[in-house]
Amino acid sequence: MEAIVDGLLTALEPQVFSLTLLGVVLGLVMSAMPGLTTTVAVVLLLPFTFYLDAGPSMGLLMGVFVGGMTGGAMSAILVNIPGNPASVVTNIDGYPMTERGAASEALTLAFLGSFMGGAVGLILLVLIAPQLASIALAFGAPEQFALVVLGLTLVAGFSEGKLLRGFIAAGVGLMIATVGMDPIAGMPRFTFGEVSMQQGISFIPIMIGMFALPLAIEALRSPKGQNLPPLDAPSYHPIKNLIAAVKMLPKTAICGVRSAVIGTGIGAVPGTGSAIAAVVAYECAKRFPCIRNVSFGKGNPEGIVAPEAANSAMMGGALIPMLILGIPGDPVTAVMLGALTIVGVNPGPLMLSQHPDVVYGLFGSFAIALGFLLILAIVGIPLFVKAVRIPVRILMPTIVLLCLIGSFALRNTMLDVFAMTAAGVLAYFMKRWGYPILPMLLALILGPLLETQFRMSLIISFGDPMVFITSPISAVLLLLALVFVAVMVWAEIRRPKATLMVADS
Amino acid sequence: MFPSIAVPLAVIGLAGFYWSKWDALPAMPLAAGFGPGFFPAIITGFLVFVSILELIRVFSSHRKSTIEDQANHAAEETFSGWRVAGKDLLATGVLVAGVIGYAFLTPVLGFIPAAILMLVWLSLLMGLKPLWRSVLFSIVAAFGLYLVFHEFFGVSFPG
Repeated sequence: MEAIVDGLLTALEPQVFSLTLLGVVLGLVMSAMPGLTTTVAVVLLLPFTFYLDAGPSMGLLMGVFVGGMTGGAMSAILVNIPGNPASVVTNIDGYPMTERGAASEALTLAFLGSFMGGAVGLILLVLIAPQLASIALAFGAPEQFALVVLGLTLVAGFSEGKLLRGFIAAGVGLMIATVGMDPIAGMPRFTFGEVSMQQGISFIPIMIGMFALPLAIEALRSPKGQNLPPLDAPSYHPIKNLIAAVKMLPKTAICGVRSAVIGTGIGAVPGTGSAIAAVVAYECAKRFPCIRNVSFGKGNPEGIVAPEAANSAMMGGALIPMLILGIPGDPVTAVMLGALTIVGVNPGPLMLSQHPDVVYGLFGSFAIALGFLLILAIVGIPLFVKAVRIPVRILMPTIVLLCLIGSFALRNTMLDVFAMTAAGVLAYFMKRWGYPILPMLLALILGPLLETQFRMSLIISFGDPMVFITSPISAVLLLLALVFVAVMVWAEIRRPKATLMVADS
Repeated sequence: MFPSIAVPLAVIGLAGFYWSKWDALPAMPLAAGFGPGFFPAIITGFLVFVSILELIRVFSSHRKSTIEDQANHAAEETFSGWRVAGKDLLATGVLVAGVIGYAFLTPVLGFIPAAILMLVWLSLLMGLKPLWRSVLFSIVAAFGLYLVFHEFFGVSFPG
């Protein structure tokens, strides 16, 4: 309890507090723009954190995470263009409400759902994280290796459902991660004689390039862009919005909490992400509706609350493996892990004991961001509506320049700028040809850990590979990975040939 | 179908190049974790294995389709496929040219002029016309980001 209070006090420090609020606003605005996702928003703001301590850095990124998860719903509801993968589901019932003139109600429901989901996700995070940390302390090298294998396998399989392509992407990521100094023998490898390459290839510029540059290439490829439908800004009545939100609460609370639990559980599994959480929660709401006699797909309030609650609760779930196990489960937590690494804080089983201020400070920032989100839902909606209309031909060049600034700022070298550009081009073609980018990125981040734990395990066991089986935890984790692969292969074999042809075209 | 085959083959080629580099690294005893080439050897084997499986999967899914499906698929690929690939390469080339230009001009002209030129290049090609509008936006964006990042947050800039 004392740690929670300390965390809240940390989050209330002026610098942390103001950056958290700024993050929520930026996350809402950037995610509301069609074409930008929460991931891109977090990646573009990452360079801001290079010169901040862990607390303010996490406050800013947490704010962007919270705001970004909700911002995508705004463009989905107002102009029928989802701003996040998860808001594709919100769009199903959100835009029909706008078409019948209830855009303000739809937006209020989205914010309400996000608040409920985020609150439940935060509570579960605070309860579960310490318990998981005490279990994770028992993890040695074989267990850590098996955990990373499981994490990468899940991410490879869940990314667009193409397991083999996910493995290929992960393998290439592991290959890139070996550039630099051997972590055990201390010898340079794959450096081509360049001293600058001995530091290895930083994943930060790669991450920036992979998530942001493909958008710019797409905008260059199709300069005419998309025609946005006419936008009628929702009416601005803060008191009416507040009353409407309170009235909707009894009808939507059960749906919201149930969806939040689903979202937290799904978010805790690496590779699943907000879209899966939103879909599962929506389907559950359809099967077990709380509001009777209202069809889904035509403006049902539960059709907005369910995916938004799951989407936001996913944040709490995704933070559990990132903070306690050092395994980011989704792109945003991968960025947050990068930000922590830059300031010398390494997430993992010892995180809670070595850096409780950072962990509970992050929890505090999460709570503050949620509270601010609720306030914005009541009074600030019209301010964000304008963000939806920023033209791509202004937005994208600015994003490119942000990428150039951000990738240079980390190590003050143009090599990182070129690496960022190469990664962006690679990611663009990977997306075009059906290869997921998240497995490659996570393999790049976790590759050094994977190699170190693997080789340390063999050193400890005097070269006996059975060490990964004789350890019960390691054996179970590796077995889970095998079972997952078997399930994915079985699903692939049973897939109809028509979809196979479409998938390969 | 071309990328479906070309990518696994390219990955196998990349793995071969990777092998040629780690093979030259010294082997070491167990105490040093078998040396710097040990883990890369495992990655090479894994990459070749999954790439071959992917090729088998692609060919087997191609064989399962009917002759009519294959004819339709081939017809789609002939002209429109190459046109799509040309657009992708052109868009990529434009962006890379902008970045290279920025990288070479920054030490010569400084950040702001190089950034303005790059922004004009990209915004014009993304459809921001006429030229004066593109230049105005570029000047505002370059100065604005410089002020926020460099002056307010203290982020390092090139040039």
